[in-house]
Amino acid sequence: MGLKQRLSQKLQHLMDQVENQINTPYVLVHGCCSMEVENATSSTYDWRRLGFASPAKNIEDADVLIVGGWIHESFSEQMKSVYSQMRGKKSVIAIGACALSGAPYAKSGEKVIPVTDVLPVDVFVPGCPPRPEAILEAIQSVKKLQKPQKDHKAMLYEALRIRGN
Amino acid sequence: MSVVKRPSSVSQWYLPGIFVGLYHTLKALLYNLSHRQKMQTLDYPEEKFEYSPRFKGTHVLTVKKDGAIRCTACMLCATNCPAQCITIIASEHEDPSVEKFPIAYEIDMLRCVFCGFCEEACPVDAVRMGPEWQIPGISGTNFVKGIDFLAFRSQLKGGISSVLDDQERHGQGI
Amino acid sequence: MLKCTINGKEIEVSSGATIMEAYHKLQEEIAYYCWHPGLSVAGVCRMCMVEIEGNPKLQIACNTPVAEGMKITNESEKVKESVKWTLDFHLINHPLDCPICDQAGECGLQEFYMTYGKYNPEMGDRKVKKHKVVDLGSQVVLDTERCILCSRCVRFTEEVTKTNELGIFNRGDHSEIGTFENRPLNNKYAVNTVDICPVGALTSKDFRFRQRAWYLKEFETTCNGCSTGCRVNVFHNQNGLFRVKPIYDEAVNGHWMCDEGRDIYKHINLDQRLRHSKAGAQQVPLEKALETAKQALKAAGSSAALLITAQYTQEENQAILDFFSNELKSSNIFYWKNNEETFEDFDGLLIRGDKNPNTQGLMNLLKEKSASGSWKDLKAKVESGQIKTVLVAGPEMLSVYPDLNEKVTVLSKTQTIWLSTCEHEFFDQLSLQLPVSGFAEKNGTYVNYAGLERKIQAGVKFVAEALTLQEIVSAFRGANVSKTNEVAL
Repeated sequence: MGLKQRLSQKLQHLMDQVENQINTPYVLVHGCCSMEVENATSSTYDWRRLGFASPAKNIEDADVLIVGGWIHESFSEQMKSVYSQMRGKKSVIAIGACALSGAPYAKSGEKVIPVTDVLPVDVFVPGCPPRPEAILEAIQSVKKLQKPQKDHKAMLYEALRIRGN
Repeated sequence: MSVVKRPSSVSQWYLPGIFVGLYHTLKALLYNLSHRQKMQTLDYPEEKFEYSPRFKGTHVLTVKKDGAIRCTACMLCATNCPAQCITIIASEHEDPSVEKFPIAYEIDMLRCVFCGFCEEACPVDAVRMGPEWQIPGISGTNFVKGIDFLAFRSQLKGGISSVLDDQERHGQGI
Repeated sequence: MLKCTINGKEIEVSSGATIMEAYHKLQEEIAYYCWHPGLSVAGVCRMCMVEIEGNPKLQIACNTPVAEGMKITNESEKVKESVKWTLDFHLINHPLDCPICDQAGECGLQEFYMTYGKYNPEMGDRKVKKHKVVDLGSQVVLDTERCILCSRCVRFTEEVTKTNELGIFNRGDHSEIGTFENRPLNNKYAVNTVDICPVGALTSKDFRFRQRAWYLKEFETTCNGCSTGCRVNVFHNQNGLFRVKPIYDEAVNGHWMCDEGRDIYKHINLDQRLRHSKAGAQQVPLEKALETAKQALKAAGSSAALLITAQYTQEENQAILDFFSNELKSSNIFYWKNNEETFEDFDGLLIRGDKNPNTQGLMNLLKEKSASGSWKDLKAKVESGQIKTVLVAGPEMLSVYPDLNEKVTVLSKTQTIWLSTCEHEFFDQLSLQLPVSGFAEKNGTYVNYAGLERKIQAGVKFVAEALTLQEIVSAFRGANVSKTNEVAL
């Protein structure tokens, strides 16, 4: 292979590695929790330090869906369609008591449903609203889920076993 | 006569705008690099935010001087809770001066809105809102926390004492 | 008839009536602890003070007879001050037990404190400490510190049950209610003392600490424990039924009910119920079970038999007897009497030996159909092979039918469809079981021993597949009675 091709391959490899480290969130949060998500985006609790890009404008670019705020029954269809438009290995973070169980509106007679009735949720962030630090912790959990860490001990034993045989 | 100020044609060119923006960015970058302490970002896992003593975090069930739980299962907190997240099952205690205590006290953390109404309603200072914020969990974690977590979790170092015991009150003749 | 004016309103009362009775007739609010319409007058609590025009001092309403033209009021400042500070006297030695006391939410002291009290306590001395959690018998627990010595319980054991188990011991500050040595409070009406106690001094062992009073809803119905048919209030919430209290019914039970009737809510709760139809020990879907039963009965035709107990309402009895005589043209109707020897017992107050609520009603209907045999006839016919299909309208209260096992064994030899409220492993020998509603889940009429009709109403529904006999009969006639998953009101 020529120098040019090898270089471009290496560059592509490097860019892929970088891209794998960065997740793009799509923020579907309204109500009081939107303030805390904005805080997590802003410079005080910057989530870019942990590897989240700035929130995507198109759902197709995103691989993490952040859901917050109360969910009325009538919104569940749209939410499912948003989720289905995501590509690749998708994750969902649910933020705040309203999304997790609809509890603040339990006595109101309105049909507020928990997000687990609509989407499969990976990380739950309790709180009303949760602190931005809690959202950063959730981001770290999601990254572990998206890219599970290599189990070095298991790999070593496997290599020794093959070597032994 | 129009009093609207239309932008001049020069300000609509791209390049001058880009240079002005870059100037502001570089200024901020150099300032941050030289004054690390005054940077606004809180490096979360390494630096922590200081909370006031009145912060309403995960609940704490206080204990009496002998280590038993202070709660008398009167169910006022469960009645006052706007999210209906507290479940209590009461039971009879062998000691007649204690008489009633909870064998199960559960708070569903996904329903709780951390309003503090339970702390206000409690007549015996058994429930308080503690200083820790809630830790997120992956799907499958149990978010219904019982007495073991609320009163005796490791951060509480054996249990927080309540303000007044019944024994003291009886001793004072009230 | 004497005329008097109470709080500005005129009322006529019979001569000899006290002011308290006049207040009750007018349904005006007045504070009282020791007075009870079913007991004699004590006049010890001093809360029911009223101002009578012409009288310089306040008088108690419960023991002052009405005179012609009396003008009575309890809304003046003088009366309100009196009630307020009388309440203070009651509360001097009262312990701060509201969080652990069962009576919170329905307590006389809490109620009148919110209406008349709201003072700052001025007592500086220490409170007198007395015995707590005193075991008074098999049903009642006493807390002498909370007692305000209204003596309602003492008068109850003296006048109503005439057993004199309770008394007041010691004097002054140290007075307490108690029982005598080796004579616990073990009569059959003991839990009535818990109902009439205005504070949490007497509590029922059955209900103790199980639920808070403000979480409970109530509905009025008739007890199905025996043929007296006392009027009762059943307390429930979405977790089940919790307790039963009596309601005043002049003709049947007065103000009281017996202790056996306190247990009638237990078999309605979900843990004892038959939730799905069963064929043998296997669960089958409801439609299939109804279809099997319908085919079996139609195939048997006039040789099908009905074994009925007196625990169903008049409407249900009517429906099933009509089905048997009109559609199946069968006259094999057998009446299951549970305890022949003790059937006519009566203890003098409320408890009767006939433990079925609707015997009289069933007898009336069976007389009309002029067809009934007893268990012996059915047993003979089943053993001889004449009857091969039996529909059993089984008892709701299994504990009062002691010979259940024997009957089930006999009937398991032939095709039996057993309608049951509760689940029991005996029944797994039978070919088919269908779940039916309990007395708290259906509307209907019971006829008591004296021929009086009393209604029951549906206040809860715990088992969605449970049907009433009318619904079963309409299913046999072809209607669709589909039910959804388990619901609880």
